[in-house]
Order: sequence, then C-alpha cells, then structure tokens
Amino acid sequence: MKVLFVFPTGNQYPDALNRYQSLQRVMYKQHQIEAAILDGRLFAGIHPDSIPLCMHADVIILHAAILPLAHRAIQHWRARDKIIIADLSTPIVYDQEIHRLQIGPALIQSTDGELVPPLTVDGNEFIWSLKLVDGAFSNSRLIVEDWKGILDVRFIPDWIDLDRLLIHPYESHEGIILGVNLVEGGIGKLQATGVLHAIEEVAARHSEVKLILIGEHSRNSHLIEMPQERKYFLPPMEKVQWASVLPSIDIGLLPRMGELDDRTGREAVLEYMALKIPWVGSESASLYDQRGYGWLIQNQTDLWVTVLEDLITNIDHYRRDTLDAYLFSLGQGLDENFNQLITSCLHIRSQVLDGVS
Amino acid sequence: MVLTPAQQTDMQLRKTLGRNHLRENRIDDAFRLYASLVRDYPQDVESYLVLGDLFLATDNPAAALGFYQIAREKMDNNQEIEKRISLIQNENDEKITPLQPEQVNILLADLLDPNQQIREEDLQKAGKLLHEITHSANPGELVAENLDEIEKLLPAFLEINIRQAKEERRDDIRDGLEHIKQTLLEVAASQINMLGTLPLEKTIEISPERVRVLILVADEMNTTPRVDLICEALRLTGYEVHLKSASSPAMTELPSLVIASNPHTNPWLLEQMASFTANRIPIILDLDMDYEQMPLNHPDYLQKGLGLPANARAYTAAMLLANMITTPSPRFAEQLSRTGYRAIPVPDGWSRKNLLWEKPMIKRPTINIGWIGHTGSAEDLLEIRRIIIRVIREFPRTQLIIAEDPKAFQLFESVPENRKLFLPEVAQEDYPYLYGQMDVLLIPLRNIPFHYSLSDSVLVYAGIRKIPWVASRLPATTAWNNGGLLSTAMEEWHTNLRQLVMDEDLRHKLGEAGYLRAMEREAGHLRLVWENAIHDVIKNPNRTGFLVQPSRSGKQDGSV
Repeated sequence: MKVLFVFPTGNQYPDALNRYQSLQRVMYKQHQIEAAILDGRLFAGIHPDSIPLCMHADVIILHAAILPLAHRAIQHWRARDKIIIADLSTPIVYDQEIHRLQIGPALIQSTDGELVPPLTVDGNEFIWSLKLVDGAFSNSRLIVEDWKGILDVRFIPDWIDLDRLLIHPYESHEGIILGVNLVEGGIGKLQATGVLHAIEEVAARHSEVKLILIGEHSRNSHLIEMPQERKYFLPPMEKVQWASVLPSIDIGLLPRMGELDDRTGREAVLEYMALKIPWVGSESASLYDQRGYGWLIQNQTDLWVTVLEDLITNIDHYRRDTLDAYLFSLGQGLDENFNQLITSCLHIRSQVLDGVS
Repeated sequence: MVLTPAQQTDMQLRKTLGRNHLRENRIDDAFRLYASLVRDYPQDVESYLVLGDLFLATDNPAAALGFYQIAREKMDNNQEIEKRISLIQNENDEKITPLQPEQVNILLADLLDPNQQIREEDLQKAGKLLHEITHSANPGELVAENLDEIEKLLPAFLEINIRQAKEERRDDIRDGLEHIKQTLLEVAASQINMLGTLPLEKTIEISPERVRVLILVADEMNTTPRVDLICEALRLTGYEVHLKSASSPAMTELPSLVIASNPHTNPWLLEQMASFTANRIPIILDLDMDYEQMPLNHPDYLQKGLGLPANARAYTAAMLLANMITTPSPRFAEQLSRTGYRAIPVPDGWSRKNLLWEKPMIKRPTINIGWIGHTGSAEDLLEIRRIIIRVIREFPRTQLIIAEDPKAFQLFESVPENRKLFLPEVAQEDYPYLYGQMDVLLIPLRNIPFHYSLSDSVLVYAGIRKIPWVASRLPATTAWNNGGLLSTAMEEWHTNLRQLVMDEDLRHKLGEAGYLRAMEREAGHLRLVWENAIHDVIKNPNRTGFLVQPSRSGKQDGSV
C-alpha cells in the first residue's frame, strides 16, 4: 500500500509535518509501506506537482486543516479511486464568540512572540468536508465522539518517536526542575488552572526549584514571580528544544483546562513517561487514559501546591515509581504501533470497495 | 473589360439600390454607393455621371466637372456627357476649373473612407433606441423588431459606449470599443466592395486537414463543457483546433473559421470577432443558452445576463457579426431563425476521452436521491422540497444528495445529518463523479421562458451514468424522453419518485434506456453535426451574413 500524507502549510500546525515525517521514516525503515508527504496547498489546488504523488498513492491522509480548502481536490481524487482519510489529530472546538470551528490551538511564534491564530471554518462547511472523505482518525476520544454520526472516526492514540526522543542525554544538575507543557493559552492558562500561584509558592519555599515552560514567550516570563535565573521559557513551536531539555526535567506538569485541552493527544504525557519523569496533570479527558501512571488533580492552587510539595520532598521515591510508566511508554513507540494506522486505512479501504461505507 | 454575369448582376443591383437612395433623398448613401461602383467598375460611365450630378446638386461644380471629364475620356462623343459639361460652363459666371483625376481619386477615397465621423443624428437615434431597449420589459423582442435599425446604427451604439468609457476613465474599454468601431466601419466599406468582388456561389473543396478552427473563449484555462466538447468533436474530424483567450499568444496564421463562445461576456471576444470579420473569416457564434431570457436570480446573471447594458449591446453586436449561430437548444435555434438569423441547433454531449464517464458505479448501501446545482436553481428545487423530504422520511434507505449549491442544501435543514450529503462544486472533468453519487436524479424546472430553451446536457450526463431521473415536463425533457419520468403536478412528482425508489428494476431499465440515448451524443457522433455546420459556413459565408443582408425579413437565403 502507498500512503500520502498531506500537511498544512504555514506556522499554525508545526507538529503535523514532524508527525508525518516520523511516520514516513518508520514506514521506510520497516520496508512495508511506501509513504510520501505533500504540501497541502499543492494538494488543494490540484497543482501539477501534486498529481504524480496523488496518482501513485492508494490512501491519502489529509490533516484536518486542509479539509475545508480542498473540496475539489478531495472529490477529484475520490473519483479516481483514491481513499481519502481525514486526520483529526488536532483539537477542533467551537468558538462561541465567532460562531466558527477552530482547528488547533493559537500558537506563539518563537521569534517575536506574535500570536499565530488557528484556522477557523464555518461549522457546516467543515461537516461537508468531513462527509466527503472515506473515513477519519483522531488521537482524542472526545473528537471521535464529537463527530460520531457524521463519519466513521477511529481512535488512534498518539505514539512517540522514541528514536528521536531518547537521543538527548540527561544533563546532571542541581536542584529540582519543574517542566510545564502548555497546549495553549500561555500564562493566562497557567493562572486559570491555579498552577501559576502553586509554582510561585513552592519556588519561594524551595530555592532549589527551577522552571522550564513550553507554551509561552520569554518576554512574559516576568509574569511569574520567580528569580529570572530560575525560569526558562520556550514558545510552543520550539519542540526540538523542548525535546533536548526534557531529560533534565525532574517533575512534569500538564495543566489542562477547557474544551481544546480536553481534545489533545497524549504525546506530552508519554514524553514524560518515556523519560521516567514523575508527572502531575489536571483532570482532563486528554490525560484520563494515563491516570494510572501519574497524578490527576483538580485545578485548584492549594491542590497543586500540596502535590508539588510532596513530589519535591519525595522526588527520589517518585522517580523510582516511574518504572511502570516507563515500560508502558516504551510499548507506545511509533515503530511498534504504526501498523494500527495501516490496518485502519486498509479497513476503510475495503469498506469503500465493498460498498459498506 | 468584360464583366461576368455575376458582376453584371451585382452592378445592376447596386445601381437599383443607388436609385432608391436618390429617390428617398439619402444623398450620403447614394454618394458612397456610386463611389464604390466607380471603384469596383471603373469602366462604368454611368456611375461617373451620377456622381457628377450629385456633386453638381450639392453645389460642387468643380468636382462635378472632374467626374464628367473622366466620363468623357472613357466615352468620347457622348451627347449626354457633353451636354452636362457645357451646362456647368454656361451656368457659372466664372470659369470652372475641373478637379484633376488625382483630386477626383482623393474625393472618391473620402467618400469611401471608413473612418468617417458618426453623425450626431445617428447618435441621438441610437441613444433613444438604447434607452428603449434597456427599459423595455422585453428587450429581446424589441431588439428583434429593430434589427435593421440597429444594424445601421451599430457604429453609433459603439460611439455612445466609447464616450461613456471616456467619462468613466476606462481607457481599456474605450480602446477596445474604438477598435471594434473602426473595424466595423472598415467592414461596412469592404462588404460593399465584396458585393462586387466575391462570386455569388463559392465552391470550396474542404479537406479536413486544411481547416483551422479557432475557438474564442473568455478563459482558456476554464472552458465550459460545451467548448471542450466542440474541440474534441472537431479534432476527431481531423480539423486543426486552437483555443484563444485574451492571454493567449498572438496567432501567426489566420484560421479558416472562428467559433466564438458566448462573446458578449468579454469585450475582448467581441473585438476579436470584429477583427476576424474585417479579415473575412467566417464566424460561428455559439451560445450556451438564451441569455435574453436568463432570469435575474440566475447565478450567472451578473456575468452573462443581458441586464447590464454593456452585455446587451455586446450580445446584439456579436449576433450581427456572426455568419451563423449555433446553440444546444433546438427551440432557441428556431426562435433565432424566426427573427432572421442563420441559426442551427448543435446539441451538447459527452466525450469518451474522459474515462470517468464509463467507470462502473460503486456499490453503496443507500439509495441516493440527488440534485445538482447546474441543472437549475434553488428556486426550482424549492417547488418540490416537500415531496423530497416526504420520500426521504418514508424510505429509511434513501439519502439526499445536493451538489454545488449550498443555498439549496439549506432548504433541507430539517433532514437529519446522517440522511443528507452536500457535494461542493467540482471541476467539469469530475462531473461523472458527481453524477455517480446519485441513484435517482431530480430535475425540477419552473415553468419560465428561460427553461424552454435549456440544453439537455443534464439528461445526457444522467444517461451516460445510467441514472434514472424525474424531471419537469419541458421541451428539453420531453424531447429527450428516455431514461426517466416526467412530472407536472406535485402528486405526480411524489408518485414517480416513490416508484423509482421502490422499484430497482425500473431504475435499471430507465438507466439503460437513458444510456442508449446518451450514446448518440458522444463526441464521435456529434462531430458530423459540427462538420456540416462548418462546411456550410465556409462554403456560404454570406448566405445570411448580417452586413450584406439586404433585408431582415426572415428569409433564410440571403443570396444577392
């Protein structure tokens, strides 16, 4: 089978291309599946450069953000017996203010801190787009539920690219480094979940506590009351840098709040687990499946403080306790699991050919 | 020089016309006509004498004497000529110096000058007529009634537009129109010339490989299905076919024939038509539909409808410049013929070149009842909305498919999401896919004049995909009468639709019948129709060519 991944162009979805490249690499390594990657703009415009790739593919996997722009192209390739599958592995939520669907989180650009808005689309149009494709998959159980009845969405959880994650060495350091992975919302989200004050409180009590946060620009670092030398901020697009500092993190924090956070995948938590980092997260649907390997708490400052105090005080004990989580995460590697995606694609394909879907 | 019988006939006819001009005191017309006779038949003494008389009557004895003297040189010792010359000399106190032959030639050239100014009187007439047409409830009829007048005033119409473009500082439009006007005036002059020079019946041997057809389109990259079909059919015939739009590179060689597709939608197309007319290249005007009847709420109205005065004027001008009009609707062709145009129907069809047309349908668990936007409008669908919802509710296996028109899809908000599907617009090459999503096609069309002259392309497409249909009873659907059921009353719609949903065998039989009928419309078959049309125009370009047609009385044979 030949698979073509179509990624959205622009800065809004930096993870999509990385994810498809990882899948392509694994497929290439396993010698089973031929995989190619195509720019969404070329696909949507049925650009001459895109035609050989599409023609060659059996299955075309389209990122959610491509769908509303590619009505013509989707139908064009379906007419030529290509199986089109939507990849809904990015949070899709309804924005009450503008009455449109928001595809993915708003992101802060790494260089100047400018906010990159996500794509928003008319709800009806997005439904039309979804109904044009042969099937879909998502890394979020809520998204699977959201679109039930519109089309067949399969749950395919995130897997981690262990090859890429485990190449970064552990850097010995003094003190305890708290790592915070925010999906969106920056400092505002940190404050709303109660994590901001909790960090400030424990940092005030424990001078050895430092903070590395991904999801906010460093120009806003003054909004956390902590000595400057003890805090380090990374904008959400700096995933490579984040991967390089992850091994040095001692306690992982996953503040989550709202519909968008609930519809994210599990990659962030698997990263902590694969690096034997004890973690604590908000009670969110996106973390629920992994609750047995960490702590889920309500978004209240005093609860966060209590848990952080406990983790900081007993860090060695909790580190030893990460073995189960570590072993679980090793089983969630891309190499071992990408076949699930292929099986789903084949299943959708046979359904289409049998006239079932 | 001995004149051929055809030339003699031509000369006599023109002289008769000239005498009519004189009788009706149309001096300018008489001047031009006799000047053209002098140019075309320089041995004809009578024409020099008449011109001399005309100059004398308009108080230009020097010019009159010049013409008389040339006549004397051509025919010595003619008493009539001598009498005229002495009359001038005797009646004037001063000695009249005749114009020299070179001066006479300049005068003749002036008379034949196509770049003459347009008379203010004509401008006023044109303005008045234009106002009447644009404010008329039935502009088409008014245009048809005034075709002769419009013909005469065409340069004046263009001049009005040029002035308006100047006021609006639209230099691009002004230049384009100026070019058309000049070309028209040149054509008018050359057509007069052609009366004497062209043989009345041209016998041309047409070999396909020598025919170069140029198809003028608004956008080369986005052609209509009909233009694609014409290209395909003509190429199958062996003709050399080229598409040309404003962005195309200039052509090095003139075509044998030009087909202009809906040229009123783009001033450049009209300009090209005028230019090819000036080069005496026969032109077929291909009209996709009866734009005069296009309703205001038609999605293409602003671009193609005749509500905009510019479109209306361009439409009329295009019809006047064409040697033949082709249209997919027999009824529309008949209407045009009745108003004096040389119009023939050339039906729409499909091409085997697009392999998707004959691709087997994919099995599906549902019976899809579908409607496609280009078959009509949401208003048409609205009329049977209740029936559709009723049938969808009645039969759980059915699914409603609405293609191309989101407004039409909104009519079915009450239908559950899992029982309906919207298919956005596709490229025309993917129409087979769109049609392939339907098991029963709905073609509701309101009873309005525009729908009487619609093409039957939808029925062809449905036929080739073996899709049975339910359609309103209108000329196109009634004439096709294969592969579906006709309905008038709402109950009839319900019964027919219900029957098709329930009876798989009937669906199959109708699908097969439609398929057989649609096979007749494959490009390979249609090429014969196009071939005949093109042969006819090339052989007899001026059979009813507008600018040489003496009267628009509806007669089809315009031979002079």
